[in-house]
Amino acid sequence: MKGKRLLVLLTLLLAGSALGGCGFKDIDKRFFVVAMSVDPSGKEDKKYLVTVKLAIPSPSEKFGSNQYTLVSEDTDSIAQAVRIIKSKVDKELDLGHLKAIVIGRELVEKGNMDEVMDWFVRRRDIQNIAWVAAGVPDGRSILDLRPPTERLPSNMLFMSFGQVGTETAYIVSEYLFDFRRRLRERGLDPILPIVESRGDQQVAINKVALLDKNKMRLVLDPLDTKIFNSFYQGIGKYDIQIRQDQGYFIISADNVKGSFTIENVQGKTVITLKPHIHGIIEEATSPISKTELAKYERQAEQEIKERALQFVKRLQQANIDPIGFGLRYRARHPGNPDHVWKKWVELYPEVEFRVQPHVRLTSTGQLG
Amino acid sequence: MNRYFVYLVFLNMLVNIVSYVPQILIGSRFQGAIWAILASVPIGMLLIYTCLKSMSRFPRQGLTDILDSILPRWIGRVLLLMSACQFFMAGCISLLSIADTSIRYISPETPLVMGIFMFLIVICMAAVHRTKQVLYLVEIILFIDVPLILFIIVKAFWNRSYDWDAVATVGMSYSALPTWTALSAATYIFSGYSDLVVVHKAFKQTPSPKSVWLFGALGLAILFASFSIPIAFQGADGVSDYIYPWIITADSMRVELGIVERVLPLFLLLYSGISLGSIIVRWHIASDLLKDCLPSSWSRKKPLTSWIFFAFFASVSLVLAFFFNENNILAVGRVWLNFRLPSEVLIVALILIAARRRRTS
Amino acid sequence: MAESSDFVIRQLDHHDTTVHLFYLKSICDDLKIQRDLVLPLYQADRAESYENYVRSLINQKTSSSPGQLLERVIKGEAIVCIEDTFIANVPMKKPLNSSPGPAEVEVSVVGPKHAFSEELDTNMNVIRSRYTESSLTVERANLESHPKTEIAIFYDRELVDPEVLEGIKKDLKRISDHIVIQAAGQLQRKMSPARRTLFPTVMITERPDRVVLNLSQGKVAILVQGTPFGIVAPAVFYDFMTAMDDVYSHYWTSRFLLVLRYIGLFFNLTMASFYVGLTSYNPEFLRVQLALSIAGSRAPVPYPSFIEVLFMLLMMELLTEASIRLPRTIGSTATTVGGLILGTAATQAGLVSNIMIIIVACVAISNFVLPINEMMFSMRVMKYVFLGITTIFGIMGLVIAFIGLIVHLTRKQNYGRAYLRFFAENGKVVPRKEAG
Repeated sequence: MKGKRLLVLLTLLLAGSALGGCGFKDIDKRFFVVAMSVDPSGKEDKKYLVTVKLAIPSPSEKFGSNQYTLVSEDTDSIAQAVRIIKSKVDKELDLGHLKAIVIGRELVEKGNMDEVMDWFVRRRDIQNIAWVAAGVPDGRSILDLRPPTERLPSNMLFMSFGQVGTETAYIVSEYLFDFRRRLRERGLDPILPIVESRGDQQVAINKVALLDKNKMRLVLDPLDTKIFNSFYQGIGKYDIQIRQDQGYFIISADNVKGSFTIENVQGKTVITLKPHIHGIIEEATSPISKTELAKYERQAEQEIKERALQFVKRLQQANIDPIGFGLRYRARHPGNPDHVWKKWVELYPEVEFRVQPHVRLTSTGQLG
Repeated sequence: MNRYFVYLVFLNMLVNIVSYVPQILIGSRFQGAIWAILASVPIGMLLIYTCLKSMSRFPRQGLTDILDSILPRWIGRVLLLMSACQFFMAGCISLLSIADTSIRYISPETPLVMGIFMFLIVICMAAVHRTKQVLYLVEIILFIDVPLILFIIVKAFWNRSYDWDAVATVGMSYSALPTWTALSAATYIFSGYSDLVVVHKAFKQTPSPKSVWLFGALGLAILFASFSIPIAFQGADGVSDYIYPWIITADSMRVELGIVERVLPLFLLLYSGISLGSIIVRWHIASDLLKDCLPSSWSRKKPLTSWIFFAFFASVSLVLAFFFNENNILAVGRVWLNFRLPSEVLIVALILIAARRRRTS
Repeated sequence: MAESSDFVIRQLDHHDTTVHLFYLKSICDDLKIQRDLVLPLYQADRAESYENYVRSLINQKTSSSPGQLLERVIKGEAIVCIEDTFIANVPMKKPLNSSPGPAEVEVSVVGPKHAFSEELDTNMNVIRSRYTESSLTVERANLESHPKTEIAIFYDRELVDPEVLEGIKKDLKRISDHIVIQAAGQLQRKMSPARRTLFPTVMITERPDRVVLNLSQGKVAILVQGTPFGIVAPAVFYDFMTAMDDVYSHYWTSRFLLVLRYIGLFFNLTMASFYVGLTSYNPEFLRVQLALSIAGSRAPVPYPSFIEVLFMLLMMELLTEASIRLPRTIGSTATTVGGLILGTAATQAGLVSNIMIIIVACVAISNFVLPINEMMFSMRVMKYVFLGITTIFGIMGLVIAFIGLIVHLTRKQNYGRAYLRFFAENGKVVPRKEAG
């Protein structure tokens, strides 16, 4: 009885191995795509220049062991490009570790992001937690960086976006799924962090491209990026420069959490921004008195108010909404979602903004 | 309180994710899903309460004995057959769904039929045994899987990408009245109690109806999680683009400090365990009900009988897997859910009538 | 019988009485015979008083048929005849290595240090003196083997589940073999209804304290003449994961050790399979750093991952087997040579990857965490089953196989007791009927 059962099981296994068994591919027979870029093609009749960054594994990881090769292809579709690239390399392309998607700035400006992203979202083997960014001057040159401090190809990008290594409010990171959500969500517009190649194998990530549902509309400079970040992910260390008399002092805040409310005040829709800043004074040009912290708080609030107001006005003028005012409006107004949305589209250009910053300084640092 | 009953209800609540409940609710998120969720809690609690209260008059008896006490034999057999079909389909749909997702995301090169075959071996091996052993198995599976699943769910709520505004946007459509399908899908969460039709025979005592509050709260929480987490991650508008919103959502989480960075494999592997447990319970019940439908001359004890049933179950599942794709399966799941609610209400009503008659006589 | 050179017939004459003693010189204690049987004869004044004296020596086991007498002689008794009439058979056996040695297989840190001895009588003494309850019952019996083996069945008649006892006795009676049974493990194999099961259903232990503990939990213990190991039945999965130290040490430490053992079990079963599954089917589940370093270290390896794993596991099994059978002094050299040199050389030669060495070491070590040998051996075999399934079906197959293992264990029955349950009713006394 038992023996028979064993025999049956064995036959099943054998049958299974005849049917299955495919899909067995050793790790050293695969090429891991760690990053990928899409640029507009230089050729007239082609649409995209797709570049994949293939990591070359080294037996011992050490600094500078970030060996890689870039393979590019001009095609009309990304899927096609990947098929052709497959034929150019000797190992199986594995997209399971694709963690950074860099889209060339030109392509972001040209628009049609929905079409570009479609392949990435549709593929089952691409991580939804891959980071998306815009590359300046183009995607390929961002991929083709070889900082000597890296242990893995493109690890610098992963560390910066993951905020594992450096923690700073200048870096905004965007996941693939979130980018896709923003492309589809009414009332929340897509964003893309901008990665700039600076020469000497270095990059700068401190700007953000703001898009409407189709293409790039606005680029935020580092200061505005910081303000935006407080409403977006609210992580990283902040430094805020406040003008004071002839000089300035700088507030260092562990994190800044921005919140906002939408109210209807006398028939007018008012959005009140409430950034909360909790920090210490880190640097000052003139002597700072500990007893006058309250005064500095007021000064800081005044300055932040001006800057934030300027920032949201710019958004309003460009008619984009990366912070999600529209979504909040939809979340507060019951009824048919399409009607609510239509109403908001009419309202948004007329909305009045108010800023009520709350600054709290706890210390003046090590100097009294 | 009987802990095995809690396990069964809880197992059913967790497994809703692979039974197309989130898909259906998300599909009608602007057309009455909110109402369906809110209405399902009292409906579910009422059904559980009535069932437990009535069943307590029939200690150590199953549905067969209860039906026989009020209905002519042949009508009872027809109802049993119907109920068995319900349980079989419940298991079958979960099976197709979990096999499809796990094959698609974990080993895409394996043919679907092959994957289902693997599942079937384990399922039939387990479901053919006595009710008690099935319950022990469920207990172990739950204790291995549930802590990690709860970890994923709790982590989802803490995630920065969890967007409350998107959830609230969906919540603003509360005025729309629910569709029948949405209501059926939402009440599915609570239908774990119906396992009692067979499992009751293995219980020394009927579980106390007081536990209904626990199930109400738990059900609402899990229903909310399974409905809102995909919406919060994929957006109120974009979420319906995906065939398996939960899978995409699991892939959208990242455990920075975990052994594996991606949640998706963990989630899928845990859920294949949970679904296997649930399928085993369902099919065990279905085969037991079918055994009761056999003419009394046929001996229940014959192990061959169960094996014939399971061979039948397995071949039907394989045929379905062969001919259907994920969209068809979703349609089948929808139809099945639509039928499930009325038939469940009917069974509970019959049990109630039987209980009343027993009290008066 | 007389052909045997150690068979002795002594004739003693005193007054006018003639007494004959028959015994086997090789197993009887000569001094004792001299003191207890020979001297009293010369001190007695009459034949009747000597006869009475001899009768008082024995515990009323006077058997008269020649066949049975022969058996008594073989068992080490001396037969006393006065004037050609049979009087009595008196046990005169010279005990062999009757002192219990230190426990070597199941070592405990703070528990009792001694194991059973190889002599049944001594072992009965050991158990009796540890289990001081009048309800402890001992039944001696012979197994139907050739030659017959003496066993003793112990149980607490107030705690034992009568059904379990009945079942065990029935299984013992069923044994009829033409080969001698000399070890507890052999008896276990013969007892078990499923001939080819992989998982042990009774526990073999050399620790008297474990036997006593299990007796107080209502279990049945069987001791076999000639071996320092006893059998405890019924045993469930949980029993095989506990060491006696769990009872002796602090609550949290013992819980920690228990958890550690389950983790070890999990590693032991799945580690090698995970390596194959992750490197050959789903490298995207690994972190990218790890994936690249595995890929890098696997680059010189010409074989597919499962052959690499099999090769190293086989190497490890050989090492383990070699070091078990070798004398202790050489054993450590063998492991050093094998473990250190072979491992390093294999990686340098490009036969296996660095990470593979770590995994094999982990698998080997985690196997030894299991406290009971039988379970250790079962799991050692089990991991190859997992490896095979994973090689064919990938990670998904591994998970399904794991659940299949749980299914197999839960459906296993052991004298009416479920083999695997989450809350095993182990520590509780009187587990007569299972709760529903």
